[in-house]
Amino acid sequence: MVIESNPDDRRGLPARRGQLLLVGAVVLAIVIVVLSLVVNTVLFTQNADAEGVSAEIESVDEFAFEAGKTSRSILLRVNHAEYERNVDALQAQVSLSIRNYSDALERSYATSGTVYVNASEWQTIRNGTRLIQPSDRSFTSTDPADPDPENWEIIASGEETDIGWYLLNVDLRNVSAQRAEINISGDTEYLEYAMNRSDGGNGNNLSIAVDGSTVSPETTNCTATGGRVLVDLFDGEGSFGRCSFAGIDDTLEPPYEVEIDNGNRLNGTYSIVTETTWAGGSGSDFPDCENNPSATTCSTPVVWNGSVNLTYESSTVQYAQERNITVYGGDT
Amino acid sequence: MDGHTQRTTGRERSSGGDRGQAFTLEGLIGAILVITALWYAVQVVVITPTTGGAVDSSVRADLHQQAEDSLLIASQADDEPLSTLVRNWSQSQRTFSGAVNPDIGYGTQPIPGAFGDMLNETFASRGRLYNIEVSFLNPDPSNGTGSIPMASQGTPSTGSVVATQRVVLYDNMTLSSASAGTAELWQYDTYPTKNPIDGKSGYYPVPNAVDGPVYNVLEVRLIVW
Repeated sequence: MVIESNPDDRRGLPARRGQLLLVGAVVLAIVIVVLSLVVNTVLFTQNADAEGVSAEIESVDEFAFEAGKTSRSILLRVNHAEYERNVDALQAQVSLSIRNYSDALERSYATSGTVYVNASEWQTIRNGTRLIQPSDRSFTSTDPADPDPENWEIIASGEETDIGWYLLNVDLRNVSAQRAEINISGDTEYLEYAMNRSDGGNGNNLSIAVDGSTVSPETTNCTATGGRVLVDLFDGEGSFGRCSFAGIDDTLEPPYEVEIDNGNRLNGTYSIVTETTWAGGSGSDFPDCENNPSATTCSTPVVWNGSVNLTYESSTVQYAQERNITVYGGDT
Repeated sequence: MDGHTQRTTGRERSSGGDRGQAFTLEGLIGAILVITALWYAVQVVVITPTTGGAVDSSVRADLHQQAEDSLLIASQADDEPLSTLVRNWSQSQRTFSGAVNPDIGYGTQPIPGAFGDMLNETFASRGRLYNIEVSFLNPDPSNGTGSIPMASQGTPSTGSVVATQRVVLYDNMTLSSASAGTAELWQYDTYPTKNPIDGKSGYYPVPNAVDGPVYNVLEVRLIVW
């Protein structure tokens, strides 16, 4: 069977081929344009995504952490730098020191980039008190009204408070071979530190025997350097970390009460920071240090905690935070 | 009949000529369309840092992150190895203690301490080189900053990355080198003299640039390639 082709079909075929060429070109052009748009979008997204911003956020976190940590270190140093000052003088020194640090930080960032940082406007939330014995003497009470100055309470029952610092600087040459005791009662538990000079009073170590309601009795020797032994009862270490024992911070819960027995057998200086404000000696046997240079023991204000305003500004990130700083215990 | 044939042939010739022109025109339009699309596609390609093919951005990102992390760990560890390192100063050598010389610091020699171990494991053992510069503030802000080379291993090449970390020094800190005494930082002279002025204990080039407990704010810059 022979099928004759229609002459009209033969005439139309080249025309349709021509149109097919045109349609094919249009489709090809559209495919090229669409592909270019897709590739373009992928590349743009890869290069303009949040990577840069997230890296900047890491820098902001780092800045906030470092500024908080440094502010805490500054406060600690200012608190312990002097003791013959009142609360206003202390606040002025704290604010100035934080502002100077902030200026230095601003300069440091400005010289190496386009970031602006600031850590200023210190606000004290709570003051505390530092009870000190600034010069070497026995650890006895200086209160004339105390009937038994060798056995006395630094923080008496009824005045219990949180403690953030308890440092002894012991003059070993004047420490007895017989034990003196520092008893600390926490909320429910207690610790007893019995201290004496080793080797019958002729050794180069301060022997510290620790006992308590939750710790097993143990004795450790802390070696003197230049005749002195630094003992940190709060963190439980001595001689710059060369000896260690159970400390207040890890063993007890506040509030604390502190008592000394046979204080005449220990000699040196001490410093205790409490959360309670005992300005002017009110509520404490320690007189105010201000205008009292001859005091053998006294109390002086410290900053316990507060806040600082942190600012970080760059072309992509603007950050501001009021960061709370706890100087003693806890984290920044 | 001949006339009819001639007329028919003329019409067919005319029709074939029109189709030829139509094909040419359609081909021309198609070509213009394709060329226009290609031109557009070439024009809209994003120029990225890696368009030239010289640097792999992911490698640089990894390297940068490693450098940042090394500094961060050294800065925030409890024993503060970065702070200890910047105070590891030898007054007799007038550079960091154990360093090769004041110009290149430790050079390619291992840096002491935990930070040095980290740099060795992270970069040196993988064939990477690095420079470390310590930049400090001058007391007078108009004098900008000064710097000390801690380790100079050469000129950074293409693909180098920079990571920085700040270290705060305090007045009552001491130098950490074995030969250092108990003098606090503020007691040192910032000029290398064999005859320290009264009240000064020796030479440490970082000056006391901040009033109050803070001594200086250093910037430790780690350049890796």
